[in-house]
Amino acid sequence: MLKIENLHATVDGKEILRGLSLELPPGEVHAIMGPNGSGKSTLSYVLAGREGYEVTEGSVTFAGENLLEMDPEERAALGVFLAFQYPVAIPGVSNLQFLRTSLNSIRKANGEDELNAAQFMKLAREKAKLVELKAELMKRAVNHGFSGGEKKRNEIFQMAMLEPKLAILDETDSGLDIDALKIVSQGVNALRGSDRSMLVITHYQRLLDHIVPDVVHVLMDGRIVRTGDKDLALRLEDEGYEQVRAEARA
Amino acid sequence: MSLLETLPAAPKSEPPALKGLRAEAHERLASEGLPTKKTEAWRFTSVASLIGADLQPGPSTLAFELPEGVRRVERETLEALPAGPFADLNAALTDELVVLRAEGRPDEPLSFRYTGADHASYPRVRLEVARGAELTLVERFAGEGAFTDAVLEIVLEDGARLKHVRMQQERGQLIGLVSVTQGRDSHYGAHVITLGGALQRLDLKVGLDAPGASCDLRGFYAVDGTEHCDHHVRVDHRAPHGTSHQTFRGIADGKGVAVFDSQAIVHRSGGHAEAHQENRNLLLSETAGVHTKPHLEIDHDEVVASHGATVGALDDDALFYLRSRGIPVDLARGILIHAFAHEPLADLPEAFEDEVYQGLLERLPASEALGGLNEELA
Repeated sequence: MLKIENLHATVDGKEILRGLSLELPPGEVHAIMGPNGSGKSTLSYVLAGREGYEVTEGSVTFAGENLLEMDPEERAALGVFLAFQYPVAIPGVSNLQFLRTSLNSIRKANGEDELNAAQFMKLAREKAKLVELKAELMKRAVNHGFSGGEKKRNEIFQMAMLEPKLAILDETDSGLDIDALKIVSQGVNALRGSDRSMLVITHYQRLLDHIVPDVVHVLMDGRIVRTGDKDLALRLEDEGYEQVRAEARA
Repeated sequence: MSLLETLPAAPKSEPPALKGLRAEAHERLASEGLPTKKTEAWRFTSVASLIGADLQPGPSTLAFELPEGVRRVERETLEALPAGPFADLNAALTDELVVLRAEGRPDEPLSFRYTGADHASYPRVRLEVARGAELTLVERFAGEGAFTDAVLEIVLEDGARLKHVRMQQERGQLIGLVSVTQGRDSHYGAHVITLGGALQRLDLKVGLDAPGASCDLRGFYAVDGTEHCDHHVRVDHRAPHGTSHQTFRGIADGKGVAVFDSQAIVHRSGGHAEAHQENRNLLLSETAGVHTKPHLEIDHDEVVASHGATVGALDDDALFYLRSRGIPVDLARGILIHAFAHEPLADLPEAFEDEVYQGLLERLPASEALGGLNEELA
């Protein structure tokens, strides 16, 4: 269970999150929708532990632990996974070597045996099918020379390999055409499960046709202003964020 | 006693092939002396304490193995090398001139090992690669020598090809000159790997002196603690249709200082040239220093050229990406530095890959865990 209470966070001295509260029970998929600048990406970075995002007030607990006191790698070992809006290219590091190092680091942190090359490759081939990732892409340098869609598929491939307990999908739909969106969504849906929570962050309702959320939150000006079911997303699409903003003020 | 005071009053007579060079060297040293901070090419590399030290010349510490196809020959006279203060010092003080000649395609590499000693050592080699011959030369500098002043002259005859791997892992003080003269359509490929050392300075000078000659110069250097390294590279395009590539990268940590100075000069006689220079540096601590200065001089219209230099920290985005995937920060840093070294080490002769990467890994954070990165996954 992820529990965020009254979260305030600043970036470069500017307050972006202003009292955000949210509860995400195990097995549920929550969408967070919001206009540009509402704090969506800041929330995902704060949860993943990026430096430069200062929490000034509030708390975040996950699986009974105070997430805010942990390094990014410790959070990953606890089961937190962020699918990046802009996955980073790392020339000179093969995608597979990177992922094996990642998986084994997490296993080691949890006191599990590391996978040898053969065990790892068996798992990788199996999971790559979920997002139809070509063998050739798995071997290339991490995200280097990947198209937008390939990068996003690679994120979901990593998620499938690492089997997180909390997956945060930061605008995973941005830059995808409808075919790529379907493939990515299928991959995400296949990973839904009773012991996995997902926070799907998006600007557009379109993604939620494919990844149907249990709950929809509307994030504006750094806090949640509305919470509802999937129909709230459809309303937003029709009426726009301004209507919701006006109602929230009323 | 200082280095200059170790010069004999009159030029030494042995070996006789150096006679002409010696007289000139003595003269230049007498009039110009050894470099100071005011000498442009030595601005960032102080040799004051080295020059002032009591370092008596002793036997050369070079040991070499000749594969089949390389033999030792005698030369009566030698032409002058590009002058330099330490090359002059070497000419004046060396006790042995080694002239080697490679022919055909030796299967095994020619191997030089410099061990360093308590005294000053002045090894001097001239390597001739005969017309159409192909050779691999590997040099290893390892030890903790008081001072090694090594001069290597390479002559590539028409159509000759040389792969040169130079591993500079001297922990003491090393100053070296590699001077290459290239014949028609010859190719010179160098990998210089400089890891640490109190002082390691290399002047690498390549002359594309006949049409169609090409060189590909790659290097990787790393300094930490109070280590200091300095690479001065110069390529002269003196004949048409020459191609030169320079790809050097380095990392500076602790209070280490790395200097990179590179010139590519396309002379009026060197048209239809292609000259590329790239130098990238990672600055891993606030107290480390990097001085980089690649420059191009072009005296001809028909030239394709590029040059660039960067000095920066590790990429924060990439570091966070790796950490967000559960990779501990030290290992993540190691992975990124390892990746950074990848390009200049590309095309390294396979036989030396393990050795070079092992030397490199030992200097990276979380080196033990990094070892697995080279394992094949298929």
